[in-house]
Amino acid sequence: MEHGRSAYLHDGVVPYERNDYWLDEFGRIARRIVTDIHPESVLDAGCALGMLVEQLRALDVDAYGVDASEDAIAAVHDSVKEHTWHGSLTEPLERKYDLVVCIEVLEHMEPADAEQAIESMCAASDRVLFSSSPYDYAEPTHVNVHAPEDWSAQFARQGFVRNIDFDASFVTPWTALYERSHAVLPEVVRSYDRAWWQLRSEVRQVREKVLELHAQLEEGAGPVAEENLRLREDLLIARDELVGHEARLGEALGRIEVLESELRRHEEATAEAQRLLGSRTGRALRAWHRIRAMLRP
Amino acid sequence: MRVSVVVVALGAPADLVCESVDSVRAQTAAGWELFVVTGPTELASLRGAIERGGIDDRIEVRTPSEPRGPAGTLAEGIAATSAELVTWLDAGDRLDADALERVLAAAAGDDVDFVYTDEDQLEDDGSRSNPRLKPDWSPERLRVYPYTGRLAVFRRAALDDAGGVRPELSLAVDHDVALRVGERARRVVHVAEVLYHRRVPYAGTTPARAPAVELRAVAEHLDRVGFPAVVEHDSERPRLLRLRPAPAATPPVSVVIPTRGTRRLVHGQQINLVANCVGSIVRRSTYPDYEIVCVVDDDTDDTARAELVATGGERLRIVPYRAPFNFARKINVGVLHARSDVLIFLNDDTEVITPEWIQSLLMFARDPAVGAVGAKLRFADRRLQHVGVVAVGGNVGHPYYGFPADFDGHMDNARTPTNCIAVTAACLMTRRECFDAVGGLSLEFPLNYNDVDYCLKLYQAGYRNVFDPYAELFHFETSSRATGSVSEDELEALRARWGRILRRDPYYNPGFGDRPDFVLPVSVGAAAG
Repeated sequence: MEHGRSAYLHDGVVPYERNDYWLDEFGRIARRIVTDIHPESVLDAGCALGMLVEQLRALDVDAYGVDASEDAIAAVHDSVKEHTWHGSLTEPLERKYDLVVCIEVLEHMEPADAEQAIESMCAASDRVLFSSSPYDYAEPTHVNVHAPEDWSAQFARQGFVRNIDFDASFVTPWTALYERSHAVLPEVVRSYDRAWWQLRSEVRQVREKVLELHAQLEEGAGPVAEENLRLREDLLIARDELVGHEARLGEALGRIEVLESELRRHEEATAEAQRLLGSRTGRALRAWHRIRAMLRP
Repeated sequence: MRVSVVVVALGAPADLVCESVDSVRAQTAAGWELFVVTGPTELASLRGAIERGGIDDRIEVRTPSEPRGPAGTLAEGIAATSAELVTWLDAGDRLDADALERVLAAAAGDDVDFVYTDEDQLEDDGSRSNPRLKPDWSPERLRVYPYTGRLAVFRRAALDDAGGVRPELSLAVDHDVALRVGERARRVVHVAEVLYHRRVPYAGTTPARAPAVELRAVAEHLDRVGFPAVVEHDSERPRLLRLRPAPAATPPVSVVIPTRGTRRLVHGQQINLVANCVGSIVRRSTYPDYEIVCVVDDDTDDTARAELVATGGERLRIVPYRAPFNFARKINVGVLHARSDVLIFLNDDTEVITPEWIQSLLMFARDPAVGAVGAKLRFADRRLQHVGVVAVGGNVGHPYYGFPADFDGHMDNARTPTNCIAVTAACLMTRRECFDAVGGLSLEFPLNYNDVDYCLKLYQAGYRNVFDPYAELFHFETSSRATGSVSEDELEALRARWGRILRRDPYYNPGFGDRPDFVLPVSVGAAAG
């Protein structure tokens, strides 16, 4: 069986092998396990190349790994060789751990084997950090895909209940922390109902807000739409001013043309008058004017 | 540059032909040649009659190669010409002595493909009457109305490119040629002088009509240019053609109505104007896809508002308006809220008459070369209120304001589509791209002239504005606004922007007097009589 981790965590671009990308990724998960759960001992059930074991150990956690793939176990880094081994989760585990981690493994196992594995893990610890992809039915090695509530039901048969207050989405969106519980049914229902009611109120508020925004968009109201309208109106006004200025400029140019042609006519008339005055006729005219002036009383 | 003149003389009395020939001979311009085409039996006598007036190498009398009708004979006559420009006269028609000089001057630009002049009617006693003073190039007008008439001079190359004279169009040849050359013309020039005198009866008034070819000339034009209309004879005026919107795409249309819920006495009843207007749209319009955007003043009373909402139903959207009254701004705000790219500005004191009003306006407005389209508006008693806006002497006016309901207008311009410098925003269709391009209605004109300014902005940007006679509405305009309340400031602002166009409206012939009613000044009328 192929080791499971790559099925979800493999982003399709970076191949699942011991490289900086995957070491960083498991480093991030290891730090959150330490800060949020602070276990002294951890078993990574389905550890593949053992990189989570490596990173947990780097943080002084007594971490171990087991995987059903001999190839994977053969390829683990030298530093964790002695803390990892080849084995099946269908077999009982030999010792107890503060925490068992099982990330993207059980969807690759036959249903009966997976049930066995849950039993083994629950026997080996009081807490299981568990993730199994609810999607990717098309992936050929996904022979046992279930919705999160199905896994929860299986863990409940072992006396394990989801810790509602613990946010395990730092692994995958559907990761849960299952814990051994001695709570009676009313208590379990109460805590689930509390979470359900919170979510329901939240969803309702979000949907109402979305409806309101949608209506505003439709009606062209609301602050964004109002700003948009204001800008569009300003644009209209600016365009009109531009067109108006151009028109007035055209008018002014037209008047300049008229004035220039009047000026030309005036200049031509003046030149003509001067030419006349300079000519013999002009002299005669001037003489005649002088005589008339003299004759005037 | 020279012009060839063709006179088709088939069967015409020689003295009438000689009158036409003499009028060409008397031209002040020298650059012409004249072809007189007549039947073989009349050839010798006609040539003799013409030569008695003087022998001129530029005049040739000939017969067609085979017997043909007048249009075929004309086509053959044109084929024989050699000048860059060509025109034709009917036997008995006369040219003014400077007609060809004016035409040659007008056609001096290399891009001028078509020149036409004004004309009048020549009575048998030699007197002249019925002047036809035409607008400058008006493609929308020409569609169903052969307004260019005579004298029509074409660049020979443009005429040939357009397919020349088609004999099968017989009596509709002039319209057909004007349409086909006009469709492709780089430039068309109008000489606003009466330079052509048509012998009566002439084609414009003669009972000799050919309805089938008239329809054909227009129908083929509509087909060529993809104009979404069908052409038919006007049932009320069989001498006229009219367009009807053909089934076409129906893009969403937004009707924008500024209002403050005013009540007024109409048809003897005190009515809520905007509710009446919206009610008429909803009840009468046959257009499938439209919304009504009412821009409503905040102080509008609740009853008026409730009546409006009840009438408008699902079509109606109300946009509140809080600022001080400004008609231009109210329209702009309405357009900003409108959802469609085709807009109608509508006054709240209007009422739809013709059910296909939106289709009809859209038939013109969808043309990318058209900016604004206005409707035919009537007073409550059906007298004319608006058939387009005219600018004359620095003012703007409504031609035929208050004229009888069935008045046809000069050259039927109250009854056929025309191009005009502006149309009223009481009912105006425009595309949003045009509206955005020129900045909407100008806030410089809060009350008056914002529509004229809008149309002039469009005209200046290269769009044509159109009066659509087929979209009819009532306009219950108050008499006060018509007579008095126009602001001098707004008129001055309009002149500051558009003074030159207001003094020379390209669609209003300078031969008319100072009133916008297409009437001749008394002195000219007397001289013509």
